[in-house]
Amino acid sequence: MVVATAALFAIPFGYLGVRAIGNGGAGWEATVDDASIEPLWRSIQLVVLTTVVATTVGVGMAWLTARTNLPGRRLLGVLAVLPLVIPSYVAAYAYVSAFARGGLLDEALGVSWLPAVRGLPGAVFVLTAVSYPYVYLPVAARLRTLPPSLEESARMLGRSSWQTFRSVVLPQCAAPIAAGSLLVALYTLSDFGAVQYVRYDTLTRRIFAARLDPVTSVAVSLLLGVLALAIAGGEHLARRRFRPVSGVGMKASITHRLGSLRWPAFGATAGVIGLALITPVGVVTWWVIRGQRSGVRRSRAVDLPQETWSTAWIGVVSAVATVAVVLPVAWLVMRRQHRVAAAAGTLVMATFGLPGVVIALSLVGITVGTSWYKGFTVLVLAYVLHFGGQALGAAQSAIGSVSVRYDEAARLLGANRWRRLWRIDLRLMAPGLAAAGGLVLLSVMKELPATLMLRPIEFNTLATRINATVEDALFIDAGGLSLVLVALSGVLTWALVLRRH
Amino acid sequence: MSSRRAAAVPCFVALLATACGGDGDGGSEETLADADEVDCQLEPVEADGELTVYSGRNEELVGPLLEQYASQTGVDIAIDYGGDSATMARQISEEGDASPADVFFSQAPGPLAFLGEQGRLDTLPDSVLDKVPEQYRAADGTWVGASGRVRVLVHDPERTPADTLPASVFDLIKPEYRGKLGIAPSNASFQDFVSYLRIAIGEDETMAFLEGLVDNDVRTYPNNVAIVEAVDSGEIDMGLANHYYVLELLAQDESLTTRNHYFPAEDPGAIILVAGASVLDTADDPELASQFVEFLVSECAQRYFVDVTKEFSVIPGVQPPGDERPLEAVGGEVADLAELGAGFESTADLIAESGLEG
Repeated sequence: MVVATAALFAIPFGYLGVRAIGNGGAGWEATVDDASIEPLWRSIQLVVLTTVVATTVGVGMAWLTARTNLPGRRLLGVLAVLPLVIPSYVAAYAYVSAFARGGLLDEALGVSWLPAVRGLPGAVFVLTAVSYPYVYLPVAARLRTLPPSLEESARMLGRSSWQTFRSVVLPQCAAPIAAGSLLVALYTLSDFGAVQYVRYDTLTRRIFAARLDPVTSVAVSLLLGVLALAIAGGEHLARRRFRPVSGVGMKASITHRLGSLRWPAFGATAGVIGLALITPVGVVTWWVIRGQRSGVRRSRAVDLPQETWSTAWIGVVSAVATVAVVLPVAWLVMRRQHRVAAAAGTLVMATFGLPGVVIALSLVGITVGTSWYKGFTVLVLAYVLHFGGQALGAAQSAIGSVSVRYDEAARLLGANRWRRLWRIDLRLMAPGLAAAGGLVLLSVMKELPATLMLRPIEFNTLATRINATVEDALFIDAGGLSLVLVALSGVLTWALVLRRH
Repeated sequence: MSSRRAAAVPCFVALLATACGGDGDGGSEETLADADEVDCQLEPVEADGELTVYSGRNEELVGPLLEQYASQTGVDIAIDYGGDSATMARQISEEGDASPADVFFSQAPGPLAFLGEQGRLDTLPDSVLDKVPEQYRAADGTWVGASGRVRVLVHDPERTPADTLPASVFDLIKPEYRGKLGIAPSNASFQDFVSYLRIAIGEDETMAFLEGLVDNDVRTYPNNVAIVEAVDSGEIDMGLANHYYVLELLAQDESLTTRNHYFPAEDPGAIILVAGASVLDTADDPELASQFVEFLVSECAQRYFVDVTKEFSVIPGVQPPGDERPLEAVGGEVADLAELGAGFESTADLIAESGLEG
């Protein structure tokens, strides 16, 4: 079963390998060409910087909202998750147009001195804004459940708040921090929407630019694939060193007093949410309002209720399918320390680092000519491959959070394996698995390149319509569709994930 | 809390519904394409097979025309709107012999040429090729243009009469036009224009021209509609745009005073960007596929492009509305950007390097 999963996730890598071998010497030359190596170097810089910044922001936000007396921490804690629902292409488009000379911020507030959202700093900024919740979510969850005893001991031994955080709290959060940063790193590596709008020439942008030059695009995709495998493999090796945290605190965790830093900390937290959530949502709302005032032309093709429904159901189905596919791998890794499963897990993670267009093209190659091509099965399969890594990390945390002692107790009471799995493990894991599905759901709903390539004819999602309307400068429709996508994502995330925590 | 969350959805939908409904009395809310505007009255086609069209052209633009073809001929037509034309061409290439596509309708010639080089396009029958003048189709007969977009200078003839306008697009960097020009650097057609310059006058000269625009205090706008509005409100005197924005806005609002000015035919400021169509070698019924391409260059479909999408017709005799001249009279160079290959995409970076932001 694990081998079958691994084979599934090996499809895109296999496709790239076969194509690269087929391209022979010309393929090798294209791989080592400066035009491929320079984007590789830029991708590495972008991944490292975004991961560092997003991890810092995510851990900081988690600590402040979960463990301090920050004003309004409950509301801020919920809002801090929501930037995850904004597609990177919408966020990037919104930032670029809002910060530009003559853009929204210039027009509305008269601030024309803002830096343009461009190049490496622009890409780090946009990708941090949309990806820090990958770190924030698991770290905040861990901080809320840490047993207070160690921290109390540290404080009694005279350590300051900061020293306690560094020497006691942070090490216990190492696993969720690593899992979250890995998602940020791979997400950044695979992103095309943000780097395209801020014009930072990474591997994904090079793949797109070379789409009519198959030799080059395969070569660059292969470089990207190797980098994704290296990142996922490196994290896997590092993870071995983390000691599992024993038990979950029954007592409420400690709340730290911020003292005179309370309001500055509030300013920083609100600032992050203002930039990452309120600015992009504000800009697309502005498109709708201004568009209405000036009476520009409207889309004839958008059918909002239909596209909202299509987006919701394909998202939910794909999320369930993805969790079901990766759960056995996660189980064997966590409970049996299964070697093959661990290798499969690394492959699943690495596939999350591939851009959607590469995954889609690999499935075109093997399914074209069959009746499944451009059918829902292949589309859902593409989503499973693309976003399996997101579900795997969260599923492993879910399994890790359920103590094996319950299982042992049930075994002593004579419950058989399936009964134990059903009555104990799956029940206790349900919130964590829902979180895993939630992450996949959000990603599927905003996915664009694979959807465009593999969707059944006449099947439209909110994302495919946003793409068509932006391209055709139908900004009221683009703004309206984006708002519906963000609202739908927010509501579904709330209903399926946040509500349970 | 969760019920309050759920209530947010109808609120957003309601906001959008208001947007969809428009203000009612403005009369400016008009969808781009009204399917009833052109009625082709096609004969039913005797064919059992179905036709799969891969369209890199937007459904917003060509949907009504293709739907009309389907409903009038009775041909079972499936249209795959895949977004970017070049990505679609790559997909067709990956699909190989098993490709379900019969016809490829591309926004630009480059993706068609890519498939042509791979031997994936059938040669079109003379009955199709003969309809289209040779400058608007492939020399080897593998694709034909379907409609044309022309780069123009938009201006207000009252404020800036034609004799005060630059004779060439390159004159726009002269001091007399300082601060008077608007452009949309992020717009795809502006980028096509710059790509064309890279081929026609070289990288260095193109860069010098773009920097000249920056030094001449060019104003940048997010899109072409904003340029036309800025000229109309007097914010700027002239702007570089595609020709159809003025025609489109004029159709919505007759009081618009902004008009198109065409640079001389030999000037790079007047290039023609054509969309084109081809029959793929994987077509199940090549004859039916050719008939569809023939339909795109028929008088009636051409009338649709002229009246509804406000583009130019590529066949002689289909006149643009009002005082616009037909394409052959405008007569600019047809931009073949295929020559830039993959380097085509770096035009956006060149524009950014010059200091143009938008």
